[in-house]
Amino acid sequence: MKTYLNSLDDLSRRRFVERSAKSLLGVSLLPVLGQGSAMAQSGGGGGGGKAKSVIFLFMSGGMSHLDTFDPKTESSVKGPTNPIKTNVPGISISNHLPRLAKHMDKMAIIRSMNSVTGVHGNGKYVMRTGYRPRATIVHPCLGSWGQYLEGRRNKTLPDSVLVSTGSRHPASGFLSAEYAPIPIKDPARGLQNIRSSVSEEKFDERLSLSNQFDAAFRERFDHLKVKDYSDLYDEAIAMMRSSDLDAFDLSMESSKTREMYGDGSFSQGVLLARRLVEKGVRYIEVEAGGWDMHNYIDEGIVSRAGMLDRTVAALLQDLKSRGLLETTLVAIGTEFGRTPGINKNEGRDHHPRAFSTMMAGGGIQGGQVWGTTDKKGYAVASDKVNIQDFVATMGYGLGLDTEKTIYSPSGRPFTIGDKGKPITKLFG
Amino acid sequence: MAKISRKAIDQMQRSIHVLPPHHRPVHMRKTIALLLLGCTMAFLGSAMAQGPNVRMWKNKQGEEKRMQFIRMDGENYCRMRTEDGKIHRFALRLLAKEDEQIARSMRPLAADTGSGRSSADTAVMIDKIIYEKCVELKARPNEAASDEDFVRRIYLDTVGRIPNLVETREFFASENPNKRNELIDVLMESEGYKSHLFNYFADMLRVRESLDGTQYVRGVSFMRWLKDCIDKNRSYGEMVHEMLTASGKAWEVPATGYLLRDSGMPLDNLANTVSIFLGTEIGCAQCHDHPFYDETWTQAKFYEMASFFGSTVTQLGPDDFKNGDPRNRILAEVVQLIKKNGGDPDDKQNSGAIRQLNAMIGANRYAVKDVSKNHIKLPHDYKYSDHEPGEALKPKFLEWPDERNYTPGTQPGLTPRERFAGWATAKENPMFAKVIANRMWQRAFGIGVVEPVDNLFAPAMDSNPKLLNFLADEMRRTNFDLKAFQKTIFYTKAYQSKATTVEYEPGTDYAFQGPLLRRMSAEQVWDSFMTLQLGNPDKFRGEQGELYERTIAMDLDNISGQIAVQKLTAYKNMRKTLQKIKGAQMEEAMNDEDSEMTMQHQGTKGDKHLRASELSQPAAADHFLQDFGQSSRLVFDGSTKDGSVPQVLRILNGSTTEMLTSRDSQIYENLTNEETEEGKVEALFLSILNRRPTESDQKIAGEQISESGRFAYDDLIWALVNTREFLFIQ
Repeated sequence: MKTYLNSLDDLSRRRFVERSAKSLLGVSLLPVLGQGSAMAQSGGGGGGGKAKSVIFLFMSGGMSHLDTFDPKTESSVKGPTNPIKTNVPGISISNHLPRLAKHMDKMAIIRSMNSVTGVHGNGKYVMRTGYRPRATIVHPCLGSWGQYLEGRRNKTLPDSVLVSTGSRHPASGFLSAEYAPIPIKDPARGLQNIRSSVSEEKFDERLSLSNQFDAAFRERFDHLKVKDYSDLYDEAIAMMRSSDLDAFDLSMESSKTREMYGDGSFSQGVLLARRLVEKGVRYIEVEAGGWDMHNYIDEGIVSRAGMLDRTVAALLQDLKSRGLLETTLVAIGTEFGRTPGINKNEGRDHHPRAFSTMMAGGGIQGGQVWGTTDKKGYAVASDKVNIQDFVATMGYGLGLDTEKTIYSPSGRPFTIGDKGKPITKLFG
Repeated sequence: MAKISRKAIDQMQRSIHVLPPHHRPVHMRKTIALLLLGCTMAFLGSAMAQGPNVRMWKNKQGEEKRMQFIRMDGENYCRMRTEDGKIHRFALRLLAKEDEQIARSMRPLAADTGSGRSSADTAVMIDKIIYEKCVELKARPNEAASDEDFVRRIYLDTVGRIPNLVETREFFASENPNKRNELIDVLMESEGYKSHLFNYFADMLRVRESLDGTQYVRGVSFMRWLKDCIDKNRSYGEMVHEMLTASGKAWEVPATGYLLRDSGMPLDNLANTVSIFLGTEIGCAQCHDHPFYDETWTQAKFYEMASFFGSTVTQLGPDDFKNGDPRNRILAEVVQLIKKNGGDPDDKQNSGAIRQLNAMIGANRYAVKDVSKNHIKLPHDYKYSDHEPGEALKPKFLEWPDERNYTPGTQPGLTPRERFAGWATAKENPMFAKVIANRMWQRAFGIGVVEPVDNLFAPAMDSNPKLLNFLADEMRRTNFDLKAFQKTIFYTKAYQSKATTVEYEPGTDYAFQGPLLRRMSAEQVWDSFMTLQLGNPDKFRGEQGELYERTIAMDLDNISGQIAVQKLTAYKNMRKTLQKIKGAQMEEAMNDEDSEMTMQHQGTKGDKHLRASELSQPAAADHFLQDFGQSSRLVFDGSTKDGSVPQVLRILNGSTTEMLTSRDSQIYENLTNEETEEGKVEALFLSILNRRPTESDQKIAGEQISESGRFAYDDLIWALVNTREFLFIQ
């Protein structure tokens, strides 16, 4: 079982070496700007997008498309929402997103999403992995895919980070623990257990004691799995002492910036994501709960959309001013949309048949809307996008080969987004 | 039980191992059966004589059959031997009422209740088979393990934690030459045994706190049932049979938890069942024909087998209630009630309450039930020519190439899944005994006789077929007595040897000259920390879920709106109470929230100081256990012993390590009980590594003490739990 995976590791390692060799020889050093579009024309395959990082914002509970990115004027379905103009002529979004309306030129809205499941757990799972949940296997999330295909980026920082995503996240799935994203429960507190309670001097003293007591055992069992642990100790200690760790420390941001993103764990999590992007972390997912608005959506939407609006507008602004927007794909996803009709509790119920997502940055051509729904926002009317396509598009945006097949330990084949087709036309 | 001479055993061993059991000539089988087992066994094919418990049994249809009652098998089944010598698991409800009473009151057949051969004798036989293999592979059997290695290993393997200081010292001090086997016997009867085996099964069966992803349908009843089965040492065959056949709600018939776990996913559930219990990986055939061994497993064959569960539902529909779907009636009554009291059913509070009530009603519809129609059909895109897409297939048993397949005797009136369960868990099934024997062996030696344990037909390694056949027969002989079986393994010289120091290369044959070096499981690491903290962690229990069960249960046919509302209030209170005491979670503590237990064993940083088996299943994503590789229980055997950076950070800097240096930890008390420096150092080594410090260890520790004074002991504790020696089992 293990050996099977290892041989795959070798394959991807070889690929990695090939790639490095190519760039050293200058063979594949196309102009950075030309690369994405050239590949985009060819439609899929690897190396398409030019994003170095993805910030995936997960609106947990089922974000109402009608009250965010796909507002309607029909009185029976409009609910507490009116369309407002954006800075792109001809495109309107919800009046609950006034700040984002001013960033429409950076965003591509997908209004033709659809899913087959109206159950939260299943919907989230498929959005995170591209695969429907099975009781026989767990699939990896995009961050783990990235690390598996492209290798680890930084010895002292994780490749993927999950902020406030809860215990049912599929994480690295069938890939081994080394590909697992690091979970952050509370962005204000950062990485767990990263600080020692004793001085560095004391810490070293203890470590040396430990090594001395352990010497005989390590000599007797000169095994790979024992040595692996010693390597992990080295890695963990390097991480503890790395200046990169500052990336997790939100207190280093000015109060003005923190305020611009907003209070609360989602907003601060997004700020953390930006700090991690600056350090080259590949995949950061931040979850925001509270979108399951069965009751009184008029109250709920003001609070949730208000938070989303403020925080994402801040993020786009911030990335832009730091010159990171071109290499950072920001995506908003959710498990499903909500019913056009307002129920008797003045809420909306689950609606997987049609919903909206958003992408910006990372080579995305802003100011466009992909796909449409019918007049009531009930069903997809054109350019239907499956969740698999959405996941594949994020993978493509990251420059990953979405057609590459990898195998689980039991030998089953998998691709990024379960053979979904990336929407390459979203990219400029 | 008659003693058998050493010579006779040798003779028997020779005759057993010359040929695989099913190739042995009939006369030899009889000799073995009589001499060795002292009883007749079904798969040896002896005819039923006129004997005790033999009578004409009448079924509900009035048909009569001559059978021998062997013993009860769980609550609702018994074992019967028919005249062809086959043993059946017989559903009592099929018998005429009078005969059912007779069966229930009948005494078990004496010969079938005893195991016939002692664990010690069987261990000798196993060692002989291993020795032959060692000779063949030119592997030198390892030396006997030292007392230090042994005491640590046997505690970890039987009760899932390291021994505490007193236990370690007691074992070292004993001069009893049989002290190892005696310790095994004691440990196998202790509370920790239940906890440790539960952790194993929880991983294998994907035990979860929540069966449906909500707080309403909880897995607590199944967990309690599983612990109870282990506690009573119920036959593994019976346990699995009950999981596959149980009907009812999760809290009424807890064994239903196995099917409810995968409600709505019967195909996945079956693929798992076949891998876990029968060591056959057929999941691929769920979607396409699949090359299997030297023939092909077709998708149609998968669906034929899945059809055994095709007429089993896991959620009750409108037709399953007296007056149709009770939801609307109950909710309408509740709305009336709200209005009558001058409330507005649509206001925020009331509509929220109605939604919660709705969810409680939904939870009460989660139940396993058999219906008449097979709802499992070939998929709409079925692409082979032998069947039509969407066709429902007749149930048919799986057949293994090269294995003795058998068709169980037909018993009219059984539901399809009872037929499946009977077939799957029978002694005659060629795979069932083999798989669990191999799994138990893997647990003790760190590697199975065949690997991987869930797919015996595409093995990466198949070291000793003779050994596995013997172990499988031993499983059958003891009627799947897991305790007796494990005891036998622990009694072997091979197990009691030093761990192999040469690194094992995956995929190569292994002679089992001793156990492999293993990293502790996540639960073993955590429970060992609990031992260092508490001394004996088995004193404390987590929330058992009884209050939840009483609160959630509704009689949907008859419940009034009034009672439903009371139920909801009780349910909310229960949730509040659970959240309030999320520290120690003692059920007793619910009545007395300031009880000392609760206060004392709540960790400083929110860690509950309880055994892993008493914590939430699985533990939260940011818990110590998850960092150390506890399964998230999404797939079977999902735990890992890989290291990771968060894991190392946890043991370097986490609160679990820090708590050991707090003044109320057991290990700190061990320290203060010692007068001298050397005594203190020795106590630390005995507590953490279960060995005495070497001279060099004493010297290093002594230097630290002279430099750092009394704070040096914190350093020593930290240093010792951060060794590889602590994390690995040798």
